[in-house]
Amino acid sequence: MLKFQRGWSLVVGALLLVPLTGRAVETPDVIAVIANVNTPVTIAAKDELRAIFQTKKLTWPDGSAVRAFNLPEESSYRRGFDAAVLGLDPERVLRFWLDRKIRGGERPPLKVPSSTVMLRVVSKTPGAIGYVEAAVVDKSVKVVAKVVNGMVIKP
Amino acid sequence: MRCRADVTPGIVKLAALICLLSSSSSAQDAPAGTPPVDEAPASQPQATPPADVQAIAAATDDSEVAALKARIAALEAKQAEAEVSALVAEPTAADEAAERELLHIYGFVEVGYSHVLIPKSSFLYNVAPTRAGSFVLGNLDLYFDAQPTDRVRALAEVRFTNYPHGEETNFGGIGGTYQRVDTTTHDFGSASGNMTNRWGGIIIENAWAQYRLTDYLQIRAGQFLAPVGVWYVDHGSPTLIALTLPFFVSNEIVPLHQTGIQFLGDVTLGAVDLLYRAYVSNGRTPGLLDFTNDKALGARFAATITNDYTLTLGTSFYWGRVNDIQKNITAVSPRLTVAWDDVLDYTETVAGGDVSLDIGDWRLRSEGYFRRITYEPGKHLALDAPGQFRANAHEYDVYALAAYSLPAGFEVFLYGEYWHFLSSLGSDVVIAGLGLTYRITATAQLKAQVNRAFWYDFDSGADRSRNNFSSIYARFIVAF
Repeated sequence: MLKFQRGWSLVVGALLLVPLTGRAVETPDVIAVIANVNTPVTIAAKDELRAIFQTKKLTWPDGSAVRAFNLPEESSYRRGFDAAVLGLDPERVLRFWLDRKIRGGERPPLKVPSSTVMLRVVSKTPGAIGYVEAAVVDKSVKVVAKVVNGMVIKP
Repeated sequence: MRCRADVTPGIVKLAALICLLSSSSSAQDAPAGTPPVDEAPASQPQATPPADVQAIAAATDDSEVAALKARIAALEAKQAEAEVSALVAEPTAADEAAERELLHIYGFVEVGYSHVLIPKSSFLYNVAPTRAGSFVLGNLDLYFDAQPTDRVRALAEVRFTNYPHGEETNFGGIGGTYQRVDTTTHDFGSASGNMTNRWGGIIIENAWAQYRLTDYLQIRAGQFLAPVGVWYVDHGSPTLIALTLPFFVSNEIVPLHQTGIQFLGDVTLGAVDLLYRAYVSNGRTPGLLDFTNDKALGARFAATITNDYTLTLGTSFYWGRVNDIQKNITAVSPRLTVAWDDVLDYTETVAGGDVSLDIGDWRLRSEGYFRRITYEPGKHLALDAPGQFRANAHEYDVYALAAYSLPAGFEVFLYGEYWHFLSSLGSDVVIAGLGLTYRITATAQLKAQVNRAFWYDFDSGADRSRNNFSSIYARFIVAF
């Protein structure tokens, strides 16, 4: 009986500690990575998306400019995208861009306020790439990847 | 009541109903062309409402309700059309992206407290700027980041300082006259006659323009921070893990600021990001201009693997020739003759490597560098003592830094460094440090670090422990 109680105490104690040390990010089920219909890309792999959204890759294969757009930091889609593609939780994302600024590196992607605006901006901007909740995607853009349960997959 | 055309779509239906009802109500109370009800004479008879309002008010059967619904639907359609037109016409983020905001201004400020505790037995005890603890203004850096087009970018980073005020330039006694720079000036523009000011200086950290041909090839020209390892580029206190710089940085084993042309690029191959930086520069110069045509050459290559961890392996090289001259007047007759004399001439070769690993709550950094200095005969660096010159030498420095993130924004770090160089205090120094960072927000942090320096002379075996000292640093750092 004593062993049983000690075992449960350990389990409960461990569960109590999880919020202190865990960095889990609650992610939406499906995020669609969308691009302007004229961008010279049909499928974007995770590593390519990471380079784009860390502004290391700034040109498409045809030499045109990549214009990446982010949702605001507080958006669950932004957090899910950052966790899946960049492998960073919100705190580390902020630190990443602060470090980049102080090093004199490239600027972060521009932010748009909502999925609706993201859809409109990506559809109208040459070279644009962004991400939205999958349910709002229409034919004005093309889907180049999906984030499903934290994994980047082909569309 | 007026019906506005910019009603949001979510309340279009409600607004339409309100408009209809209020217009019919208003029409009943105060038809067009008549004064408002509360201004109308009491004896004035009620005006007759327009026919359409009367019809709406009198609507009782289903067909009239259907007509009303149709009218609401028409109003909704008109409203939606107006909204779409407005959205198309308004400046969008796409336009913003096309224009690439021309100028970003940002920076950071760092203030704090420093205390170096040097024992009386050490030579440094009487040489140090102060024996006391002192509040200090650290860095006040401003960045001006201009990006007029997708391919063109310019960055200027300036540090504002109070220097050179307070700088000791000579010791007294047999050394001559004790001298300290005093930049105090009278503030003649002040309305108070006895006001004084201390002027300070501006240090240009970065001032360059860059053109991007592709992601693999960008050309940067101007003054830039030498791309050497981790610490040289991570020069800002908001980015650095520890407060104390490694010796190879503070002693500029490679010139920190270089003026020249740099070629740089990034390539992503799967989970591996490759980076190169290669530059041609004036190298280390006593003034602002290079006195030789042997330009300095430097390069850095690094590979970053991103997985559940981020691992970066890098290597850096530098070769430069350092030359100094004096111009001496050797004759005034029959004509003024000025001789150009080389007084210092040496080459320096630097090579090193770096490793960074971010895994879980750990951040690990380590760098090591080696420098070889070879003088030309008769062109050695003169020391302070008359007739003494510095010999050909080599030095090396290596450090390791481990930081661990704790809950609630705390991060603890351990620092260790070994430096071998030529010095009258000893040829070898070991630094052991312990520090704590508290991140108040993403952009504000408190940092404290305690160091202990141990001096040795491994070559001769002489005891140099009298020079050991401790130091305490605390900084409040805010990026903006």
